[in-house]
Amino acid sequence: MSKKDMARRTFIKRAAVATGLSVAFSGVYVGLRSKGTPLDLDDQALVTLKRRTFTPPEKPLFVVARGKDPAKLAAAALDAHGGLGATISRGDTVLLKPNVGWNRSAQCAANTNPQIVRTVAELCLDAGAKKVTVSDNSCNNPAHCFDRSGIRKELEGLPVDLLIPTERDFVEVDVGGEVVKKWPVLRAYFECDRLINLPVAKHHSSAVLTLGMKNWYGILGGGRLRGQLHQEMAAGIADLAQFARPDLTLLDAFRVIFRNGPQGGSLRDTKDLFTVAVSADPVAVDSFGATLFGLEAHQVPFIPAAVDRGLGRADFESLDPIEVEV
Amino acid sequence: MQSQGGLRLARRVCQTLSFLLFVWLLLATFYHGIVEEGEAVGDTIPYPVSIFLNFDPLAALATLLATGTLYEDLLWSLILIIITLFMGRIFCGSICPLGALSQFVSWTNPRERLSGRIARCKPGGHQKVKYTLLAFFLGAALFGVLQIGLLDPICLLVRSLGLSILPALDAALRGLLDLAPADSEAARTGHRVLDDYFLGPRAVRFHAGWIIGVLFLVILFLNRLKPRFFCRVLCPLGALLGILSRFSLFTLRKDEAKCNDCGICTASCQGGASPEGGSDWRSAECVMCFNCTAGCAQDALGFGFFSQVSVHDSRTAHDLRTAHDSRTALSRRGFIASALAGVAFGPLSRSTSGPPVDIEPLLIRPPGSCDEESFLARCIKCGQCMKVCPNNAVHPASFQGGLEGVWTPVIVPRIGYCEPSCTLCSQVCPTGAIRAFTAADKESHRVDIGTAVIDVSLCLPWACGTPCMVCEEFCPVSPKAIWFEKRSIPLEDGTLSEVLLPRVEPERCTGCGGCETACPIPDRAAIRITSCGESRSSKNQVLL
Repeated sequence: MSKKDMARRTFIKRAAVATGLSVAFSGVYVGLRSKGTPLDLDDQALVTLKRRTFTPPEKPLFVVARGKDPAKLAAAALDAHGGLGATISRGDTVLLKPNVGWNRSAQCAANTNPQIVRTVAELCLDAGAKKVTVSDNSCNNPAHCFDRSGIRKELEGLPVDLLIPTERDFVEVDVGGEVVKKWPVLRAYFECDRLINLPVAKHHSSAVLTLGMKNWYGILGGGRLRGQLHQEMAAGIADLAQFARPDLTLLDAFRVIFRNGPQGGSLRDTKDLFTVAVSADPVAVDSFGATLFGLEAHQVPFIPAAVDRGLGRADFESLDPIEVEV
Repeated sequence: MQSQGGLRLARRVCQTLSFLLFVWLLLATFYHGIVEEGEAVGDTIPYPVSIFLNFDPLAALATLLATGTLYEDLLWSLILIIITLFMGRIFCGSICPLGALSQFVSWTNPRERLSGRIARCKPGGHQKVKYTLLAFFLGAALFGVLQIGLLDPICLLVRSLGLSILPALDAALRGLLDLAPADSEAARTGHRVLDDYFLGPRAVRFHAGWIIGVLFLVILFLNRLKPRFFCRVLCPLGALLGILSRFSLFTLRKDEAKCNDCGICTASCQGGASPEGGSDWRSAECVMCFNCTAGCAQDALGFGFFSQVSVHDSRTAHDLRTAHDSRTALSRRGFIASALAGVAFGPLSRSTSGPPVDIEPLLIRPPGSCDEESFLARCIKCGQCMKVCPNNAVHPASFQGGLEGVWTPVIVPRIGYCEPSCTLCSQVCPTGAIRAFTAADKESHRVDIGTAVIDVSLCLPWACGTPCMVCEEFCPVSPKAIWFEKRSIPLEDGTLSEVLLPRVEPERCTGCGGCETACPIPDRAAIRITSCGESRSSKNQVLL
């Protein structure tokens, strides 16, 4: 082979490579061309997740129990309500939503009583639940809240999934409310078959009281932006109650914070009421809760807002409450 | 003499274990749960996470010079001083985790010809730099300006790994996991493992942490220029231990008759200590890596107690020591000059407006911190208080604390608040710059860190008549330090909006910053903590 041949061959080779690369670059460039990013925020399509829905029966049961042992109290109240077997089917996945908002010890009553949480979790398992998850998106450092509330310790040894959520446990969805629209919601909420609300009754400086429906703030993520919902408190709570639709609400009023809420922090801020209330009607439970603080339902703005949405009745007396003493 | 490969193996094993122990303790510098016994709340860390710093004689000596007393926890460093007096820089070779890392980086250098390696590894004047730095830092410390933490290897490593490298690694690993679908089992498990065993569920990030990380990477990279560049040239602790090791009984013996001048020992010497025959061994430079004795094919080298250092034929021992030392050791005059430069650093850094001379509103120190002057005389910038803070509230200062205060801890409440039940930063402070306190001390205003003030031009109810109460809700004291004034705010259309306006009662405020963290305005909080009212200062007070 002469030198001239080599040069020709090299020339053809190089020309072929250059042409090929030119075509490739052109293809990529033309294929990926765009007009840049539009001015409007990227309103990406939200995921639509399937979720359970629940409508309370025409005339749901309503139980009020009083007694000095929180665990027995919760058990007796649920028993009088017909047992959790009426709510939970064998193999169900159950999400329990206590209030674990604050870094406070159990005696301060800023969080749901840990023994009540444990009792309900045990009864869920007894009723045949396949999986029981306990979760809340705390306001203070979550590890501190779950430790100091005593809830982590009470659940130790139970086959219960304690989910202390991180930002990855939330998924942005359309909540579809008047004020709560696009918001990150706890993924576990979409994965449960049965949802049981375990709020604690407390004074609240802007909502007047925090009861069952207010407790749904705890399935929302969004960090400090969650605080923006306080601008439209009543509507926001009604939005969330409309979205959450729990199968059952058990209100912990064993000990309540009657001032300096919702954190309290001193035993002087608390009062022992030794009471729990259970019903499938979330509005009735909250209306009953209001009476514990000497208030009428209409004095707690989110209750009338929820009645307007048809989420339940404020007149819990019409449900012929079953009273239990233990 | 027999080959001492065993010593080198022991050094390697020690080094690796020590590095792993260091990293494990750094990861354990974290919240480990809370126990309540009656009224008392405890969150004790169950491991001695500060142990490397407790054993650091440079931290001990410098804080001793700066404060005139030796903080009790630093008594441990006496053990290291005694070991070094008898055995030389065993610590540098076998214990120091940054030494191990530096040596590892040097080892990754591509192999080159022996002559080239010998040339690179030979001792030289650059090795004096560390003595200059040591003298400078000690001179500064003598007048209460403590800067050894900038280069002390333990401080440097805790700070760099804890505040920059590990957080970056966490982000990188999570980024990798995010390549998998979000709800896949693999991604979930991966994130849970990182949550439980790495840095926790909260994505920690530190104020200007990248600067710390970049400087650290530069220092690591320098080790490719010469073996253990950091230890040879920059390490003030190595310099201190080098001075102490002059009288060491554990020395290198050379059998001149066996030495064939192959140079393998010089090429593998980590410290630039002249292990080769025909020269005097430099005890102060030797990091006790035992590469020379293990590599000598002629069995001409050996470490031992009471071994006579042999001297090359023609000159006397004295002549030789002087001749060699003048290349790698700082003269007395040089030492004094460097120390004087250090002495001058204090007045220079304080001849500027701002802290520590003036009071700075953003200089919010962790609870329990000493008053600013003694704080600066104690803080070694190790960053353990920042690593341990469960709310990512404590950050390395840039210039909020003045030039001296660079990388000292400062609370940034917009990022995280000071958890009222938490005492972790005081538990891990190795020098007492943050004094021990209990959760009860926090509640009873013994360790207040500042005061909340409301910016009425930003606050929703004040500025717009829009209801909001988040700051009051988050205020953890009982009764709350934030109270509401009911007032009618005029709106544009002429109507009045009746809202609750948050107001602060400064006497009840601890400065924890829960309000500032939680304020729902996404960028600048409408309620902010200012350092005024901090318990540690008698001057930074406004209330009579």
